[in-house]
Amino acid sequence: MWVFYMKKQILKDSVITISLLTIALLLAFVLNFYDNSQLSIACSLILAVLFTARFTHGYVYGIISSIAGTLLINYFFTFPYFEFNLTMPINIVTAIATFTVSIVTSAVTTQLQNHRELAHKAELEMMRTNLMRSVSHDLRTPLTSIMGAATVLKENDSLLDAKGKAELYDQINDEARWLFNMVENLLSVTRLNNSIEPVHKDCELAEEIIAVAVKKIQKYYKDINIIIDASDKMIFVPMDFTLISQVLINLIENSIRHGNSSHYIRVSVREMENYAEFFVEDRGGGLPKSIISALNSNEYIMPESTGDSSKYMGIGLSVCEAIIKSHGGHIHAQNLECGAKVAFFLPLDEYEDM
Amino acid sequence: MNNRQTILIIEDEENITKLLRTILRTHGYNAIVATNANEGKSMASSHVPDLILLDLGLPDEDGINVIKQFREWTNIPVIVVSARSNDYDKVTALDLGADDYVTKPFSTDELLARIRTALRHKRVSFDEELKRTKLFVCGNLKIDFDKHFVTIGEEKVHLTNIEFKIMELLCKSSGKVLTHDYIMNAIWGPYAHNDNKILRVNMANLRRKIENNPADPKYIFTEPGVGYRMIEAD
Repeated sequence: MWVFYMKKQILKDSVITISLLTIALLLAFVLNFYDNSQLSIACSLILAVLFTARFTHGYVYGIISSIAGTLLINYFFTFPYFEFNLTMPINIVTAIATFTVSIVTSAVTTQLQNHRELAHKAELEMMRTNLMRSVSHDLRTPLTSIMGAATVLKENDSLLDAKGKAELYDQINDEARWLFNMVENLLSVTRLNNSIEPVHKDCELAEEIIAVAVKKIQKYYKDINIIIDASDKMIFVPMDFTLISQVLINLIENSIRHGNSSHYIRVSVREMENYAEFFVEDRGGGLPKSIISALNSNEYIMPESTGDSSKYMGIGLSVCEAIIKSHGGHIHAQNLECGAKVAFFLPLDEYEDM
Repeated sequence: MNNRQTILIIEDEENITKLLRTILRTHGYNAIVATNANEGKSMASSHVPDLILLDLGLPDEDGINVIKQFREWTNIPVIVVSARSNDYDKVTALDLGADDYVTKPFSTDELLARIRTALRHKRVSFDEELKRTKLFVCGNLKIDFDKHFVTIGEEKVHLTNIEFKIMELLCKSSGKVLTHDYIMNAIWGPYAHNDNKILRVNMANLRRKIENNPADPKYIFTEPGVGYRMIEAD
C-alpha cells in the first residue's frame, strides 16, 4: 500500500510539473507574438517553476522543470529558432540567468514548504507531550479509586451491606474501563508517529467500522440506546481501522459520560462529495464553548489537567483530532438546541481506482 | 475421576492465571496450569486436555511457534489469550490452526462464550451435524442447505451462489472467527486475487439481504483486520 501511495504521488507530481511547463510555454508563445523581448518569456518560465516547486514534493521537480524550461526556451524562442544553440553569448547569458533564477525560486519555495511541515509536526509533537503529561497525571484519580475500593472491600467486609459492596464493585469496574480506554488512546497516539508520513490506510467499509465501534461500547455500557444509521450505499473509506474506531469510541463515550445522554445517541455516516461524513449526535448537556471553538479552529486542543471533569473530554477529543488530521480529514463540532453533534470528514478520493 | 472437562492454561502472568483458574472452576471446568511453553507442551501430551488457553508472550518460546507444534500432533482446540492487539498476530495464530483468540483485557462472558463454542465444535464435527439436520436456525434466520433456501421470518431471501457458499461456510463454523484468507481460499480458490475487496463487497451485500440494519448486524459480525464471525445457532 505504501509503495502504491508513493507511485501515485510521483505520478501526480509529474503531471503537475508537465502541465505547468506546457502552460508556461503556451503563455510564452502568446507573449512572443506581441512582444519579442526575452523578459516576458523568462518570466513565464519562472512562474511555472515557482508553482511547480510549491505544489510538488521535494526539490527534484522544481529542478527538472527549470532545466527543461531553459532548454525549451532556448529551442523555441532564441535565435536560431527551433534548434538548440548555446554558442551565441546572448543565449548562454539568457540560459544561465533563467536557470539560476528558477533554481533559487524552486529551492526557496521547497524550503518554505518543509518549514510548514515542520511547524505542523512540532504542533503534533507538543500535543502529544501535553497529552502524555495530562494522562499520566489523570491516571492517579482512577487508580486511587480502584485501590481504595479494593482495600475497603477487603478490610471492612463485615461493615458493608450488599448495596455498598455492589457500589464499590461497580466503581472498580467503571474506573478500570476508563483506564483501559485511556491506554487505547495512548496507543493510538503512539501510532501517529509522524505527521508527515501519512497513516497506513486501507479501504474499509463505513458501516463495518460503525458496527465494530458501537459493539465495543455496548460491551461496557449495556443499557445505552444507540441509533445507527448508515447509508444504504456501500461507502469504502481509506482509513486506519483501529484509529478511526477509536475516534468513534471516544466520541460516543463522551456523549455517554459527559453529555449524560444515555437515551439517545445517534451515529451516522453519509457520503458528501469527496468526503465520508461520520457524526455522533446526542441529546445531552452540550459541549463547552471553549472545546467547540478549539475543535472548529485548526488548532490542536491542548489537553490540560484542570481538575474538573471536562479534562477527560479534552483528552479524548484531542486524540480524535490528531487521528482525523493525520488522515487528511477535519472535525467539526456544534451544539444543537438540545445536545451536541460532532462530525468528522475523511477524504475518499485517494484510491479511487482501487 | 469426574467427568468435568479439563482446560489447560499456558500463561506466565500469575495474576492472569489465578483469574482464569477461578473463572473456569466456578463455571464447572477443570483447570490445570503451565507457566511456560515447555511445561505447556509436555502437559498437553500427558493430560490431553479438552481445550488449551494459550498466551502468546511466553518467556521461553513464542506462542505462535507453540501452536504450530501442537497442530503437528493434535486437534485439541486452542484459544489464544493475548495482550497483542495487532491484526497480524491474530491472523497468523488463526491461520496456523488456533481456533479462536481473545484479546486482553477480556470480559468473562466473552471468554466463556469462546470456550463453549470451541468445545462444541470439537464434540461434534459441525459438518456432520449439518448433514444430519441440514438446517441452520438462529432467531429469525433459517437456512436450509439441501434446498438452497434462506428465510428471514416468513420472507424468502434470494442469495447469489457465492453468497450462499459464504453463508454455508460461516454456518459450519458458527461462533468461530474465520479469517479473510480462509474464506477467500474456500470460495474463490487458492489463486484468487490478493485483494479481499471482492469478499467484503459480497459480505456487505449479504448483510443487506439478511440483516435489518447492516451497520447494526445481528448475525454476521466483523472482526476488524481479521475476518468474520457468524453468531452461534440456537
